Formats: sequence, C-alpha cells, structure tokens
Amino acid sequence: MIAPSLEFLVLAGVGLPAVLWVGIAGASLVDDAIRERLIGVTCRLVFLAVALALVTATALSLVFGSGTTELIHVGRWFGAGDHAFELRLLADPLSLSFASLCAVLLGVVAAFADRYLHREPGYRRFFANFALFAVGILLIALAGSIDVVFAGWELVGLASALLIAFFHERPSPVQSGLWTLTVYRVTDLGIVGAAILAHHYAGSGAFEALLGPSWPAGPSPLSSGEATAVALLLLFAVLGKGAQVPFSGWLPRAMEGPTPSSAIFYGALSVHAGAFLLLRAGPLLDAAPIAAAAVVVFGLLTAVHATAVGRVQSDIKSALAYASLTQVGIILVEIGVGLRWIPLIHILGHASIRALQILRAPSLLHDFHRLETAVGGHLPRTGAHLERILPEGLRRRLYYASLDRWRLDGALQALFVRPFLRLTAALDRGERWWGEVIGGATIDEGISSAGAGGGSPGLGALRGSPAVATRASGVLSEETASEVAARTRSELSKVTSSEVARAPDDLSGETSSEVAGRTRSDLSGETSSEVARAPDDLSGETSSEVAGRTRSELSEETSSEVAGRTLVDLSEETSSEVATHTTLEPPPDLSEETDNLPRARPGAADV
Amino acid sequence: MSEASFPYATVLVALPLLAALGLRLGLGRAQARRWALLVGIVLLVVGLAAAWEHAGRGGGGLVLADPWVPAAVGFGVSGLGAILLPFGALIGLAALLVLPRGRPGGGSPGAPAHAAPLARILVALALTQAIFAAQGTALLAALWCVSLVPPLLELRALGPEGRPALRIFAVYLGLSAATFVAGVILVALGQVAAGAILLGIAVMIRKGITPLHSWVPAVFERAPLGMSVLFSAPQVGAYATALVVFPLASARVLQVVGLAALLTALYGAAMAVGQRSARRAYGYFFLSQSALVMVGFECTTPDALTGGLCVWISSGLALAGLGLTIGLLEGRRGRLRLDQFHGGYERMPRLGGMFLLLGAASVGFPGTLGFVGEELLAPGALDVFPIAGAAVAVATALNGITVLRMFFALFCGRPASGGLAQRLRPRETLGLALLGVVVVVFGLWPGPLVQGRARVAASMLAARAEAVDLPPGSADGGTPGRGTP
Repeated sequence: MIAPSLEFLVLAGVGLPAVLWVGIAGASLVDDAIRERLIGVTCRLVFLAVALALVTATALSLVFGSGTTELIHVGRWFGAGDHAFELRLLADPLSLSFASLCAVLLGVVAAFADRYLHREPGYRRFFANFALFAVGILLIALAGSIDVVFAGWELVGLASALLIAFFHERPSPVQSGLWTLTVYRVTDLGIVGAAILAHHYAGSGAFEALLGPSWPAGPSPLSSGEATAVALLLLFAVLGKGAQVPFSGWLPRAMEGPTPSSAIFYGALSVHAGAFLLLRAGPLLDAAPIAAAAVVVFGLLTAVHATAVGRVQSDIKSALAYASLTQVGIILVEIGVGLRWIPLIHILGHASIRALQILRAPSLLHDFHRLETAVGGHLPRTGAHLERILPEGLRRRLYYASLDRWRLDGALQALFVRPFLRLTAALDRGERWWGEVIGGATIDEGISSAGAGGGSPGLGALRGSPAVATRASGVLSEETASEVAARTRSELSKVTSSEVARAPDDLSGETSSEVAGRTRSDLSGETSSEVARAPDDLSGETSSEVAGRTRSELSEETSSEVAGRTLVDLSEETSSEVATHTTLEPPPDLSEETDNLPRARPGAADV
Repeated sequence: MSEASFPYATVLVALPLLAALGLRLGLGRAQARRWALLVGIVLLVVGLAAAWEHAGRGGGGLVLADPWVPAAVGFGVSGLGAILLPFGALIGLAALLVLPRGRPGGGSPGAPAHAAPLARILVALALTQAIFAAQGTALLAALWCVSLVPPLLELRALGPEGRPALRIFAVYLGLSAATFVAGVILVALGQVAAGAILLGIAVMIRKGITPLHSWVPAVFERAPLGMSVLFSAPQVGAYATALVVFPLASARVLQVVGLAALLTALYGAAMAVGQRSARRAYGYFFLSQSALVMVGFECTTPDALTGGLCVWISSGLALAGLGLTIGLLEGRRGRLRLDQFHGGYERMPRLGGMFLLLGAASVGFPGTLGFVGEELLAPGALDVFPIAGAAVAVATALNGITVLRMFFALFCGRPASGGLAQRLRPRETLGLALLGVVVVVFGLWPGPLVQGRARVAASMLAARAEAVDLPPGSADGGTPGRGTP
C-alpha cells in the first residue's frame, strides 16, 4: 500500500528540478535582471525538497516494501504504429539508492554553488544548466525503460558541455566543452543503437522486457546473441559518459568548469552514470559473457591508465579526476565479474567522498599551507608503494607516457577527427569548384582541413594535449613573440578601473596576498624545464591553485624565460585577471611564507 | 472525401497577395511593417481555424473544399495540409517579426522597413500557402514554378553580390520546375512510371537531396536569410512528395529517393561540422536535418511515416528559428565566421538561449518536438532498412556537435562591443519565442499532433496501397499504379 506514496515522491523528485529549469529559463526570457538571491533561495529549497522526497521514498521502500520493485507508469508520451514512448519510472533498491545519492549531492552542491558563484555574471546560467543536469541524472537513475534513460542521457550530455564551458570568455573551457560534447555525441550512438535494438528484439524498451522482472536476478528474456549486441552498445555509451579508456581525455578537460560542476561531473554523478547503467543492465551481462569480459577489460585498462596518469598530476583537481577514474574502472571490473551489490555500495561511497574532496579542493591548499608552515617543511609523501613494485625502466617509461596522459586524445584526433576533417575539406573543395562552374564566382569560406587553430572553436583545435596546453601554446602558433608582446601590452592598456575592482571576485576565492604572490617579480628563477612543463601543469587549475605554486617552485627561472611565459599566459587571461597581475604588488611579509609552500603531491589524492 | 466549408485557402492566399499589392502601390508605405505583421497574424489565426475545423470534422483524408474555387482545380484544406497552413503562416510571421530589414541582405535592426522586400516576403508566404492548399497536380505544377519568382527577385535585388547565387538557384530550381512539369504531363498521358521518376527528381532538387543539393548552401551563403528561410523551411518539396510522388512512385523509386535522403542527412551533417562560414554551416545543417523527412517517406510504415511527418513540422520550425537567429546576429555584427569567437553572450542572453533551444530542437533534443519525430522515425526506419536507423542516429549526432560549435563560436569568447544595442528588441524576441514555444509545447505534449500525423500517414498509406494493390501499412514492393493523388 506504499505504492501511491512512492509514486508521488518519485514524481516530485524528478518533476521539481524540471519545474525549476522551466522557471529559470522562462524568467530569463522575460526578465534579464532576475535577482540572484531569488534564484539561490529557490534552488536550495527545491533541491532540499528533492532530497527529502527521494530519501523518504528509499526509506519507505526499504522499510515497508522490503525493497521490492515498483513500476511507476506515468503514461504514454507519444506513439504511432507499433512504436510508443512510454514514460516508465522504476522504484527499486538500485534506482532509489542512486537517485537518493544524486538528490543529496545535488542539494549539497547547489548550496555550495550558491556561495561559491556569488556575484558571478553567469550565476543564473549556472543554475539553469545545473537544473537541466539534475533532471537528466534523475531520469537516468529512476528510468524504467531504455527510452527514458536515453532522454536523461541527452540532457546530462548537453548540460555537462555547457557547464564545462561556463567561463566562456576564455577559449580553453569552450574547446573543452565542445570536445566533451563530441565524445558524448559519438558514444551516445551506443545507447541509441541499444534502444533501437531493444525495441527490435524485445518489442519494447521497457526494462522488464529487456532485463527481466526484477533486479539483480533478471533473467533477461533476450537470447545470448541479442543480449551481447545490446550490452556491447551500452558499453560503448558507458565508455564515453564514464570517461573510460580510450575516451578518458574529456574528464581532466572538464576541470575547466567551476568547482561545483566539477564535483558533479568527475567526482560524483556523471562518471558514475555509466557504471550505474551497466549495473542496471546486469541481467544482460549475465546472458552475454563476451560483453561482460569486455566490461572487465575496459575497466582494468582504465584503472591502470588512471592510476598511472593520476600519479604525475601536479594539480589537485587533475589528481582527483584520475583518482575518480581509477575507482570507476574498478567498479566496472566488479560489474563485469558478476558482482551487483558491492559495485552499488562502491558507487555510493566513492561518489560521496569524491564530491567532498573536490568541493574542498580550493581550500585544501590553504590547509596544507598552514600545516607545512607549522611543521616547518614538506609533509611526507604518501601513495608511492605501488610505484616501488615496478622495475626502474618501466617506471620511467610509464612516467613519461603518463605525463602525456598516454596521448589518448591525440590518438583520437589523429585517427578520427583529422582524417574526417580532411575528407570533408576535400569534399568542400569539390563543392566550391562546382559552385564556381555554375555560379561563376568563388565561394571563399569552406572547411579548413587542419581544423581551426588552437584558440578557435573547432574540433581540430585540440591537439591531443590537455585543453589548457593549447591555452599557452596554441595561441602562439601563428604569432611571433613580438606580436604577442604587442598584443598583450595593448590588452593591458584596455583594463579599466572597474575591471580591476572586480578582480577579486573573478579569481574564485583567491586572496589578495596569494594574488600578490603571482607577480612577475616573484617568478625570478624558474628553470626552463619547468617552464616547458607549465602548460600541462596548468590544465584545469583554478587561480587559487595556481597561487599555490609560488616562489619556492619558481625559484630558478631566468628573467627572460619568465617574461616569455608570462606573456603567453597573460594572452589568454581575462582582462580582469591581467589587471590583477599588473596592479597588485606583493606584500613584504609574504616572502618568508612562500618559501614553505607545498610542491605538487602526485598521488596524494589517489584512491 | 470532400466537404464544403469556409474558404480558408482562398483567404490564406489572397490576403497576403492583396497586402503585397497594396505595399507595391504605395498604400500604407509608412506603416509597411505594421501592415505586414497584421497580415501575418491574421494568416496564423485563419490557418489555425482551418486546422481546427478539419480536425473537428474527423481529420484524416478529408478535404475541406474551397467554395470560391472550382472543384476541378483541386484547392482546399486536406489532412496533410491542415497543419501545414498554420505551420507555414507561423514561419512567415516569425520572419516578418524578425527580419523586416531596410534592404535585402543587410541593414541595421533599426533601419526603416522598405515596402519591396516586405512585399516579396508576403508573396512568397502566399505562394507557400497556396502550395499547401493545392490538391491537384496541375495546380501544384503551376505554383511550383511561380513560387520561384520571389527568391529570384530577392537575389536579383542584391546586385552583383548575389549573382553567383542567382545563377545557381536559377539553374537548379529551373531544372526542378521543368522536370516537375514534364513529370505531371507524363503522368497525365499515362506514362506513370516515367512521370514518377521525373517528379522524384524534381522534388529531390527542391528538397536539396544529394547529389542535387548544391543550390542550398550556395543560396544560404548569399541570399537574405528571411527569404531563404521562408522559401526552404516549409519544405514544399516534401508536400509534393506526399501528394504526388508517394502515391505514384514504385517502391524502387521511393527507395532511391530514401537512400539519397539518408546520404544527404549524413553528407550535410559531415559537411556542416567543419565549416568556417556560419551561413554555409547552417545551409548544410539544414540539408541534413530536413532530409530526414524524406527518409520517412521511403519507409512506408505507419510509425516511420508519422515520424517523418513530425520531423517535417519540427525541423521546419526549429530550422527557421535557427536561421532567423543567425540573421539577427548578422544584423548586429556583419558576416559571421565560425573559426573565431564572437563573444557577447552576457549582452544578449535571450538570443543565445533561443539559439540553443532552437538548435537543440532541430537535432531532436528531449522535450522538443524534434525528439518526438526522430524517436518515431529511427526505429520505424530500422524495421524497413537496418542501416537507416543507424544513419539517422549518426547524422543527428554530428548535427548536435555542429549546433554547439556554432553556439560557442557565435556567443562565446571575449565580450563583443556594442552594449545595449545588441539586445533583442521585443518584436524580435516575440518572433523567436513563437517558434521556440511551439517546438517545446508540442515536444512536451505531442499527443494531438502525433495522432493527427498518424491519421494522415494512414490515409497516405491507404492511398498508396490502393494504387499499387497492397494491404495498408505494409512495406511494399509493388509496381507503380494509376491512383489519383
């Protein structure tokens, strides 16, 4: 008799974020100046209500329903002929537990973001995208058919790309958002194919027709061959959304987004959505040993890749991202070998702790700063026990490969993106020639076979290295140093006093003393190798993290090297950030403190 | 089945023609834009009334014959045309709201509206409505030819700048008109198979189906976007396919057209991804998404055909809106390139939001009408032709990337200068919002529209089955028949 209550709570859980999105988007259409306070309070209340509804539903199901499966048939959305889109939600232990996790973490992140993005120009845009993401992830969690999963999958993909590109005035986040969406759209073909095949084989996309009457027992009514085909397509989709090898590259790029969205993507929910889907499809994997083996292989590959790459990351968000990937890879292995409850518990625990770590990341450096100042030296390095097992030669090779993140994005670009662009460029030349033959005039703007340049919004803009690397090197590719210097000087000259006044807000929590530490006078000793490493190291760092890399790290750079690097770095910064560089001077009392600041801790956040 | 009713079709055609004539004669020149908008609103209301009455009388294959036009001409509101009349009127109204610019091909947002371009848009709108009301092949052929005149005049008004596009347009669309007329004559003479092939070629050219597509990106590259959108977005080629080609053509001809449409969807999507010109990218994007309508016609199953008819409405509205947003941006910034960032989202969030919404609707994002159409089309297509479902999915995946790439290039980056002048005016907001609201409302509540399209699909299949002597709803392989469209 708990079914009506459960139905109401689940529908409220999915419906409220949808209403919130409509409200924010609709209000934006009517009034550009909707108040931040109103949005913040509304979002907090909505996500509190969502969390309460779904946690209550979970408790009701476990206590009074003994964890049975409740099918919530909202209705028939549309249909024609033999095909219909049924809105079916499922309330069982798997869906309710993951939905509750989503709801709680969404609430926490919403409350965090309300303060973190205070007075940010894109505050409203963030919460509109956040609400869209919430609808999508909750639909995935509570879906009762593969069609509903697909709808949620698409919403999550678009919202993720827009949130990664949140700081859209810089090219790098935008390129990262586009690359992420590209990976998503391509791998989403897997879920489209799985949905189409499910309808073809089972005559319906409903989970009971595809996966059997209950989770995790199943059994799937599909034959082994059919189950293998559907499961492999689902796995392809999961590789993209879960950032598994070879599609891992988008995850560190996602760091370009604000910290709250990072926590959602690579800390908590987005990377686990794929694992959750595979867990839901467990009965299919039981009937498809080849697909289950493939899940294990990709999970293992990802775990090894991520733990190796994560250990050489020098910024905390990258290290956390790869640590997340390691765990997601292990979760996939667990699913592939036939475990069902352990991976679920693993997802719940890992998502929670990782979200906490990422939300704490910006302020963690302050803690280390104080600790090491108190101790009087660096804290002992941990997490190297695995590295010691490997032979010296292998360790070195692994180190260099990991510095380049195994060139996975570069390989995807070289194997697929660039040949594709070359092909379309050749076709476009043919089109233009034909146009000239018929029309008698040149059509001068076609496709660039090399893709766009490093600072432009093209698929070919990514050069196989992390997005922020292009921030430094790509911009320079067509400019001489003197041109850059001239451009930077001209950019500096346009900084207005109001932009200078806004600088502290733009620096996402950086204190003025830390900002002061990042001035040219402090950069007086960086070595050339460190300078060369700088673009990679900067991938996804927030300004406050950059602040952590102060004089002690940069103590050997020559003045000319500093000048070159600073000009490059400044060329992609916003004018407000530039203003900060040039107008604030370091306080005299900072010089002693900065000598004791920590170096990067590879592996510190791992596992 | 035909019933007498209010002369909706005549009103829908005569009103804009009279308004255009009045503008050309100098009547109300000072208030040209207001008159044009008033006519657009009336057309939308009359179109909705026609659709309402048609649905109220049972819908399906019923034709509301126009009492002011002789029955032999074949002019009225059919099941297929009932929804297309307000659909065409809505696109026309949005174009009038958004782009009544001072001179074709350019002009600032605040420039005074000139009568000539407005009159051409009104004539184009009247001809589109006339085509959607045409029930006979002879009338359709005549309108097919006459409807080329407004875009030709618009391109000619551009002067030397528009000459290449004018030539390409004249060559391709002239060939289309010639083959269409020849096809109608052959069918009238009893040479149905040959006539159907010529008609198929004609609609392929008009729809921009590969390899006969080159005029679409060339015209979008050069012509004023308002006229381009009004000429292309209603997709009168699809109407001719449904009215003439679908009942007459053999399964082989439909398969060739369908396969070419699939190729177009893939080719257009691939070509759009890397383009450097926003207009050219939009042209290929348009080709790709609008070709999906023809895929539905090829499948000859109820769900795929219904999906194709829904994609027709959704892609028409969303692509029209997307084209108009690009036009609005061009009015503020000049020609737009996609290999650089233009910035300015914070200065025009409404325009950016509408671009995203309409772009997402174009590629079938959940919650929009495009999602409904593609969800019906892809599985239905798979049942008939396995590779079709995969091709539809790949094309929409690539088009999704194109939409976001265009959004990022056009709205992201360093802030553009211009300040408040870049914000949308209320009438511009209204024009885009009309299209956006329709695709979202019908996306969230698609039942009535899908049911109506399903009835039309059933009547089309029944007509075809009668013509080729097959059971209704079957995926046929029959020979061409002699059924009256």
